[in-house]
Amino acid sequence: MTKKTLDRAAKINLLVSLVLVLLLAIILETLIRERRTDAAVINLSGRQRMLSQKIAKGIYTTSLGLTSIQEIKNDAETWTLVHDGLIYGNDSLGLPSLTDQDLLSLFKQVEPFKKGLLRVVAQINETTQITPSMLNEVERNEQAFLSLMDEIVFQAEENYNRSIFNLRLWTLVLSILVIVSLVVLYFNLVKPIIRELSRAEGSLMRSRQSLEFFVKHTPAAVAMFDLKMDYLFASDRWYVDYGLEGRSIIGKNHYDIFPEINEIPEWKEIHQRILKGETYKTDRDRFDRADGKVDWLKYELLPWRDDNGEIGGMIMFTEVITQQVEMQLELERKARELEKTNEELKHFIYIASHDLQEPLRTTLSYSDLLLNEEFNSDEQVKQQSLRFIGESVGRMSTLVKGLLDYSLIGSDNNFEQVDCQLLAKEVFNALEQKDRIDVSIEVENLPVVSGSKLELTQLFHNLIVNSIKFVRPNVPCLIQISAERTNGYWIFTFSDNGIGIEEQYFKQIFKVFQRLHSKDRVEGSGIGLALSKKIVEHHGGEIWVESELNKGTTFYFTLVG
Amino acid sequence: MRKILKRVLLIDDNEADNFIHKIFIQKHGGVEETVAVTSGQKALDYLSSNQTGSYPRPELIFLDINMPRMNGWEFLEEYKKLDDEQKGGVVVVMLTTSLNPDDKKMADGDGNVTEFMNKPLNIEKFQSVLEKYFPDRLD
Repeated sequence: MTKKTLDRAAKINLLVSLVLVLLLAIILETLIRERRTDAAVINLSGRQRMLSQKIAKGIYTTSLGLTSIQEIKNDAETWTLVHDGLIYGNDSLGLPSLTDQDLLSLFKQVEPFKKGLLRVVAQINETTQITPSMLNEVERNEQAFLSLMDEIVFQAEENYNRSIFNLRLWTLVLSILVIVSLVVLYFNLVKPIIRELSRAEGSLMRSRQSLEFFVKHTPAAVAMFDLKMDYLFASDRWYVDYGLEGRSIIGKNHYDIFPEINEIPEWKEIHQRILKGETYKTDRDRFDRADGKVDWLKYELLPWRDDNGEIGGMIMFTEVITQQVEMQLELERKARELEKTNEELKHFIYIASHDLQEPLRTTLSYSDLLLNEEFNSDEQVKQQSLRFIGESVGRMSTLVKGLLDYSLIGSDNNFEQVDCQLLAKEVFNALEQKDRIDVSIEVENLPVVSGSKLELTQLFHNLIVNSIKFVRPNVPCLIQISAERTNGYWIFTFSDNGIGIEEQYFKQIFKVFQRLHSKDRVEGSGIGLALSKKIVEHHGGEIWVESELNKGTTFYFTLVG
Repeated sequence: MRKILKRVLLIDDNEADNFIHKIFIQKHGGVEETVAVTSGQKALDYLSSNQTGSYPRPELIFLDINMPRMNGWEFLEEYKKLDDEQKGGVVVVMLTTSLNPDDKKMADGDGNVTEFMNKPLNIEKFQSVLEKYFPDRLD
């Protein structure tokens, strides 16, 4: 049924009901007025009866001087007035003219006896003697009048009863009609409205169900929340992506399901902004999970509104892009590594062209000198030349060996558990036996770390050798090695009491062949610290230095425990 | 041979280079005294040393660029700060390899550098420096 037909049916029904109620009112009004007339007739007829008796009694007793003639005449006048009123109607008495035929014929029959009684009243005056014939006349007329008046009252009462019955009947009929009209109204109007409403509700339910079905099976992690951030529903993918399979989350709070979000106040703030009507979108955001795992998310947050346009909560469309981001990060790391390798390569070329060329050029210069007759006669020049050639070749050999060592770092990926305490002692003992050095060493509780034993040996060797090399004149060399655990790393401390390094060289010393001292002062390839740096980096750590001139130097490096 | 220059300073950390350069300059014979030092700091110390009432003021300085700790450029920075009466004459920058553009740019902005030369120095190169910067003393 359409809204229009419903509207028309309702209007017709209401109109019918209105007419019926009006009709009922009119009929009831008419019947009640009629009944009032009957009541007046009954009442006045009774009073006429009594008045006729009073007139008769007045006439009987007038001769005895008990009643004045004037009083009788007044009564008779009233009696006549009311009598005529009963027949022809009288406004002041509230009487309509009589229409009832039965009553009219009764009033006709009463007429001669009324006149007979009035004739007697007319005959009497102050001087008139009441005769027996007159009394007889009064008696006869009055008796007839009384009995006819009884009949009239009886007839009026009958009329009255009949009109009460009619009233009841009409009331009943009209009430039934009103009830019928109301029933029709119910079936015509209320029933269809209810049917329409339930149909609308059904279709709403169906559309809600299909929406839920759609969301449930959408191949994305989607969830809908109310204003309190309680779950209204979530897609299957949501459960899978966030490891919630088998858990019931609907009706529960988002922050209870993911307590780790309490550690991300920015997110909660964004949620509050969404619930105030904003939207938010990001292509990459980090999510530190409670189990320590790191997830990467791409997501969009939107408020949803109810039928009244009020915000009812939030919808989250999310995508876990951890794998993608990890690959990207790995790629970026590889790119950085490559860049570093390139940088190293460039440095290598520089080294090859400068540092390696230098001893070569020296060798060449001196061999030329030796071949030159102008110079080779001088025994001192000859001796020096041969010394410099020997030194240059030796230096070249050291450089080439250093470069080889350097290039090999990073190739040993056979990590094992290495006891650094033991390692430090072994390295030191080997050096002590070989070079008979005058050095004291203090090694304190070094940990066992995972790494390449070969490379870590080289690292300890280089750092100890470095300290021994840069001793202060006349100060016995003391090396202290310790380690401390911080943030999942071991920080190693390698201190000596040597000559120290100026702050401006703290970075430079870790570059290949960067030497701070002339070759005439300290021997070395200039590659030891660069090697150390590369070893530490290969183990995922960092190396740095702190130093004070003429006090000592401390190398720090980190290793994963 | 007649002495053209009184004093030449060699600044090079490489002992072997200093030695051979010294041999060539001595062989050339035009210099009274050839002093060799092995670092920039030693050179500064030498230049600012006042032994006989006057500073050494070498007329010609051969400066090696590639030195540890204080390299040739850093030496020049310090050299600039010396009093004029401590400074020497012509400064020749000695390079291990051919000049790279960055170094050239750096040297162009330095008023103290007058000449570039590739290592090693020999008698002919030394003669050409003398001819270029001290022509009036050669006749």
